[in-house]
Parts: sequence; structure tokens; C-alpha cells
Amino acid sequence: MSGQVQTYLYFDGQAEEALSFYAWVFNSTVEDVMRWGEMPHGEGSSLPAEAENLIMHARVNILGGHVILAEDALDPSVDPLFEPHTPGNNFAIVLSPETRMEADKIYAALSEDGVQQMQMQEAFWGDYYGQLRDKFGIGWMIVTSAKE
Amino acid sequence: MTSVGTYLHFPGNAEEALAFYAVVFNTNVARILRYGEFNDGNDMSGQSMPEHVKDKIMNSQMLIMDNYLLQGSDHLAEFGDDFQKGNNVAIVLMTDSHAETNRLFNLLVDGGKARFEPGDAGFGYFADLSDKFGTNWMFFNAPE
Repeated sequence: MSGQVQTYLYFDGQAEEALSFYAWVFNSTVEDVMRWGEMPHGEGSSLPAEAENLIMHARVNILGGHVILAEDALDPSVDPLFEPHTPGNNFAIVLSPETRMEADKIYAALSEDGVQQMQMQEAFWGDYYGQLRDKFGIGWMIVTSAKE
Repeated sequence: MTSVGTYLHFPGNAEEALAFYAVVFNTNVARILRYGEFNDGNDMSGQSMPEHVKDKIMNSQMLIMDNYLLQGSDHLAEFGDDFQKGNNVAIVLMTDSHAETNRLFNLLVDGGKARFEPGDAGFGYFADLSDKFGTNWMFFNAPE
């Protein structure tokens, strides 16, 4: 079994802002942007004007080339394929940079206006570790076994 | 080496969930650490942990799809963790073939909910499901 694993994030109208933020954090660019208004969206259904500019699909490559895909979830009343947007704390993206310096840099950038759950520190199991929830509600864990 | 992985929290059934994923991805659970093994069974404040949480998973790890690190743990109210299951994240699997997507989809969807059965979605071969533990999975393949 081989293949690639990517991460898909749903946002409630903030996908463009969030992906731009991640592109800034990881010195990357937002690519393949498609907006809901560009899509023929189901016969007879009417996309609200305020949703036309929202992200239907976009991509940003983060650390080590890992691909994050994202979209703005539509209201179920507009598209019944969606469930009500519910952010949770049952998920985190784990980043393993090569140095503590890079871990510190990523932690500082990602946690801007977010929640610092555990600042970067030497954890009891020996790794350098930190945990945060960013301003868009996405959980991140940063861990490296590097000693400097 | 630089890498990115996924961490999943569960409300007390992490062991069952991770065992399920190990079967689906034909891999081994590489490590299981239980709360009771940590700090002589005491919590961070030095109080003895309730017996029923000592067996719960503090960390468990496995490699899926060859080399992607999937980790999980129990997120327990006993430790003051307010577990909230969200629907705002999915793990995307880009397999080598439609047949492999079909096979993994059928294993993962058992007891869960299919949102999009494997098939042509206009932009390629696609599938979308929520498994019985609430983890969301998506599949993307190019047309064959």
C-alpha cells in the first residue's frame, strides 16, 4: 500500500484568510483557488451573493511539502451535502521540523492571536514540544527530537 | 527529518479506534502508552489517577500509507479536557488506484456514514466518509 496523505480543512467563511495565514507562516503560496461562484451549483439552487466569493477549493503546501486543502463549508440550507460547521478539538496537525529554532519560529507565527496551549519546551519524554490552537480553530502540535 | 502527521483525540475509545485503523491500513500499532504507566499512576498534581483511566491511551502511534505518522490518545474529562468532536477536518488519502480507494473506503465505512460513494465527481475519482469513530476521510484519484 502506498500513496500520499493530505489534510483537508473546512472553514466558515475564513478559508481565504486562513490559507493566506498558513502561506505566510510556511513561506509558501496559496494555489489552485476556486470559488463557489465559479461553479454551476446544482439545478435550481441559488447560491447567496455573499457566498460567491468564498473558497470552494484551494491548496497550500506547508512543512516538508505536506498538502493542506481547504474550503468554506456552505450552509446546509444552501447545499444539503454539508452538515452544520462544527469546529472540534479532536484533531491536530503534527509538525516535526528539523531544528528547535525552526520549531520556535513556526510556533510563534502560528500562535499569533491564537491560544498557546503549551509553549515550546523540553517534554518529559525528551522531545522539544509545543501545542497551540490557531486563530482559526485548528490545532497544531510541534515536536522535534533535535537537541538544538 | 522534516515531517507532518495527524493526531486524533478520542473520548475514551482511542484503543478501539486505533486498533481499527491498524487493521484497515494493514499496519501495526507501533507504540501504546497508557496513562497508568506515566508518573507512577499519578496525575500532574500528584494525585492518584482513578482506576478506570489508567488503562486509557496517553499516546499511540502507527504508520499508515507506508510512512505517514498517525497518532492518537484519549482526551478525558477526568483530566479537565473538554472533548469536542468537530467536523471541520478530514484526512485525505491519495491512493495508487481506484481499486485501492474502493478497498480502503469499504473497510473504513463499516459502521460509519458514506457521504460520497467512490465514483466520478466531475473533478476526478472521489469518495468521502465519516467512520464509526467520527474521523472524516476523503479520497482523491485522477481518472483512470
